[in-house]
Amino acid sequence: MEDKLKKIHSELKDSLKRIKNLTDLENLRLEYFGRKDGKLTQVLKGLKDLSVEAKKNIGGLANQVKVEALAEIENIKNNLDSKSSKKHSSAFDITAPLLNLEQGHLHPVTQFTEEIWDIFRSLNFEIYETNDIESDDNNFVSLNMPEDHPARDMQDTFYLSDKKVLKTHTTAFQAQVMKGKQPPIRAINTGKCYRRDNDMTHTPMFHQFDGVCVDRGITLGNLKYTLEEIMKKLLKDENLKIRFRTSYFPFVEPGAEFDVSCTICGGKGCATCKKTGWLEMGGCGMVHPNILKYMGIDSNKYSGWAFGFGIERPYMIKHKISDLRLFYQNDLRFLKQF
Amino acid sequence: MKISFKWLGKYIDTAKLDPTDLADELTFKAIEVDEVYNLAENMIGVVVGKILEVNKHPNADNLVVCQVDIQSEKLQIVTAGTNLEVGLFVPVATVGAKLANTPVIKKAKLKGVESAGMFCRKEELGLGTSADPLQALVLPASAKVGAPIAEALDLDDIIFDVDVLANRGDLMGHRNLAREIATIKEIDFKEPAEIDLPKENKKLALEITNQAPEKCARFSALVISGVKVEEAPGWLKSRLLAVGIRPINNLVDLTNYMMFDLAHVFHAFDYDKLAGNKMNIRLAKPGEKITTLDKIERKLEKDMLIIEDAEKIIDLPGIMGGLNSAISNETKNIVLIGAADDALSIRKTSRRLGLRTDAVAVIEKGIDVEGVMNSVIEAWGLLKELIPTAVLEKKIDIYPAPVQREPITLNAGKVNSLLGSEYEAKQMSKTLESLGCEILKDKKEYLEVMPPSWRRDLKLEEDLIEEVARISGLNTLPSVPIKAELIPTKFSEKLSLLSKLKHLLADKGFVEVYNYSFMPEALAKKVFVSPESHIKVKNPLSEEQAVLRQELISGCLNNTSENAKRFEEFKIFELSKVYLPAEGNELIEGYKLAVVFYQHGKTTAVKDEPYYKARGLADYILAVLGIEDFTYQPIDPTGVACNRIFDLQKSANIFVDKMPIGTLGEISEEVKKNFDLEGRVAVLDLSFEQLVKLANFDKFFQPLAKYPSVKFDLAILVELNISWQQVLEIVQQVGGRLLQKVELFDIYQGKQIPENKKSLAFSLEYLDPTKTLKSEEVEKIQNEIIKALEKDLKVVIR
Repeated sequence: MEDKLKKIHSELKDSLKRIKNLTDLENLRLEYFGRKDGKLTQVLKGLKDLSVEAKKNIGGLANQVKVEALAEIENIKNNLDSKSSKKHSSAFDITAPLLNLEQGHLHPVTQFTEEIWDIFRSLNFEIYETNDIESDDNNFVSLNMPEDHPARDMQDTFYLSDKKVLKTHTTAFQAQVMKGKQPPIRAINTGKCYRRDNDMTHTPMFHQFDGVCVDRGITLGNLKYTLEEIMKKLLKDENLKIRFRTSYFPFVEPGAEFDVSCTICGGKGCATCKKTGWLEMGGCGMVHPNILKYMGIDSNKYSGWAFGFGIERPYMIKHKISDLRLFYQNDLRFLKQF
Repeated sequence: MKISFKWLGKYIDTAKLDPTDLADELTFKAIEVDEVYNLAENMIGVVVGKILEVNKHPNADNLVVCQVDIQSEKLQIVTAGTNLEVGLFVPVATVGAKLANTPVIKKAKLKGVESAGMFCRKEELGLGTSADPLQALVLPASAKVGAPIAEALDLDDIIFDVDVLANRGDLMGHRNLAREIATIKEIDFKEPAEIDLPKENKKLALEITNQAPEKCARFSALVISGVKVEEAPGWLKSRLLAVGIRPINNLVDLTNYMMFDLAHVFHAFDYDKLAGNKMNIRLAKPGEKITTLDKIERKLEKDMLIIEDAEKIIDLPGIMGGLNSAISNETKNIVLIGAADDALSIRKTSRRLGLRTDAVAVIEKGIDVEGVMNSVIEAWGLLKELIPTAVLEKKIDIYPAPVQREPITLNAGKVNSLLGSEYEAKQMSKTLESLGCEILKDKKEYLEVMPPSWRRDLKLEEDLIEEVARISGLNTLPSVPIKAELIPTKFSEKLSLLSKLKHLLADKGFVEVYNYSFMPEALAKKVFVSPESHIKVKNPLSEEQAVLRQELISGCLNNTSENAKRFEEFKIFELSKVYLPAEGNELIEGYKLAVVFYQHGKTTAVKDEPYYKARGLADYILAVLGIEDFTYQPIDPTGVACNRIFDLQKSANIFVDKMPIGTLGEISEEVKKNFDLEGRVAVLDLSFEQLVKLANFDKFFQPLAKYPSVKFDLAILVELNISWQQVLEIVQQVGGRLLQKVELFDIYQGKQIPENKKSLAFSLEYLDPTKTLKSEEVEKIQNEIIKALEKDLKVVIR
């Protein structure tokens, strides 16, 4: 026992000579004095099993080794501490933030729009941002909504003249994308839209994005897949699901509205989804054959899908923004949060 | 629109349907159900009571004390009701009852007399408004004492509040909604029995002409004698109450009931009020008038559809009847009509007159033209049931251009290739037949389908595909990635630059704002731009959307003004579109960039002038875009491009060659005042469209210098009116090819400098690419430069 103690002590002394920094020192301390399996700790623990006589003999030595070893460690520690220069020779202070590189911020709509661009470019889609001032033809007529079509009522329009409107939906880009062109057509349009509405959930100007894909053998099943994947990425929710509800838009047949599973509650039901577990997102469907015909595309050969929805709404859901109007009040306290 | 579960029971067996599940399924497959509720919810705790005694209240003249039998017990109820008599059957709200718009019923003392309940009026039961607010609703004597009121009134009914899609006019009636449910649930649909019209009695004459067949495709009428106007039977009233319609009398109730059953529109005229036994359908002339049933005189405009008799206008078809031909309690003979009025025309008239009725809601989604006569015959069937004494006098059907329905070929392959499904033709034909289609040919590869007359939305193969898809369930379709040829896509240079510039600004600490594309005229005036020159919005919601913006500065200054209340210093930008009228009524739009630098308080040092921030940013942007040869020139106060936004002393126009691409500088005091701004405000305004044209990312390698360069600093004193540009031109001219770079690093005015002078400090860098420069060579050039400056600009070297 005595030999063992001496051996451990001399080993410790050797190791201490090689110590160059505080981290290694602490590790060494733990190696010998660790509460569970420290080399010296174990020997000291072993004392209790000895006879009273042996305890008397060894006990003194053991205690002496312990005290000496701790003092040696402390000594090395003090040496190292003085090298690490905690002394303050000047007013210099690493915790003081003296140069403020001001952070700029892109508007939430720009940020989300660019995310949408990125996702669709990765899917081999072309990106459009069409004019805000559209002809009545492109905004309505070419989309199967002739003058006085009841569906026009859903989109209360700002008129600039009899023939010119502020576009009411990004769907208006379909004429530009399809007319005089032949499939494959894969494109999205992002941008400003305008409707005569102004309250908590509507601003007279807002942003939308629309996608269209026309090719041979394009199916509603493709639309479902694509929408689900892009919504997963946009809302950063890999478990997101989508669902279709039958609906009517003059420019698609079959047409549907699509919902995504609520990303706030995961579909269990919360205030955001009004306890339904689902969030209404937008409209979609297969491009109406009348539109393909209008664009000069053979609907017997080609089929296509289209969808459209708002940009602010999913962003609001994702970032828990309660009032749409904040997007256009340009209060720096709001803009600097994103 | 409200749908009654009991009403649906006329066509389908509703007993096994779970209303909540059904509502969900309908929402996915046919029609959005907004709300499902039970009418009886508003009537819990209300039972039928029979009045046993009515006594005066000892302490109040306007109250009576009644003893009422509700079978389980006898109650004493104190009431202000004025129509209570012994033996009457009335609805009694017992203690604990919860009613619409009323607190929970409690035991109470009214002027010292105990009262244990309340008699209900229509209002408390959610059944509309009473004619006299002090009258309790009186129940028929057949009511069972003690029975729940909902049961007694046949109102223990479940209601679906639905949104009918714009192309599904057929679903404005219970019959076709029942047909949808039968199809979705694969249950039987009870087709209504055909009604045989009796032989015409021909005692009453009527001549009908239609001068507006393009606005009224079909007009079917029955002249009926021997009618008696009275209250409708209980079941009919219950159905109407359930869907929110106020019962009036048997004839009006009949037309309403048939409308919500068949999605057709009916009207009953008092035959004896028609002058000359004549009805004529035509378009109104401007200035003509009609007083409608609601007793309001309405001025008609050109092209509104009307019906006249030999003397007067009697009807506003499809919207509301005329008061002068209306049914009254004395009516004996009627003309019952159904019509297929033009959806568009009726919708327009309804809007122009500001008069929207249930009939308009039905017509605007499109009427089944072929079904008009049949619907009137069905209405006769019910009328004969209600009034057995009724006699058919005459039948008239004006239908000049019968609808020709075409069969649609439905290829099974096309269905599956469009949906990505694997449906079989058999399944398709079953669905379509259940929806009322006739399958003319049923082949393995295709079906020939005749859609029913009421499904005017089914015109193309794709329309039928939608029927198959939605009934089978859109959510059961497989989710499959697109398989396609990968062709490199274009990303427009403009969008790419737009994004690049925005990121560049954000990286430099600018915050992006988004203002509306429209603005009030007052805002244009604040930056001294005439509102007249703007594109006007024809139908703004308010002054806020009066015109489209021509510039971004005013919007950004607005934002600056708001944010200056909270922040000492900030910089914002907007990179977005402006809109301008162009030649030949064209309207053009293009991107601009506006940047605002705001700084609270005053600055004194020349270097800290806000102009230089804007200038520094402009230099940076132009450098990043590879644009060279730009100059900053003073704004010519007499020039066309001059505006009053900028302080002319502290601003400049930016030119690339001779092309103006923007303006920058500090804004004028006037504009600052208009925006309620203090402190220093500089603006950079650039045409993004020009930047896109000028941007040049071609870079060519320049050999790296083999020999060292020599640097000199120079500080000079000049008169205040001498510009750096003047100094630079001389320096560069004299410096020649060896002078590689001249960089201004300070302008100073103040202590140690004579008044009216400023100090310019700049560095010069010389390099000879062919050899190492000798110091004598450089000194020689340097001296020449100094001499030239002294001579031409009276410069003093410091």
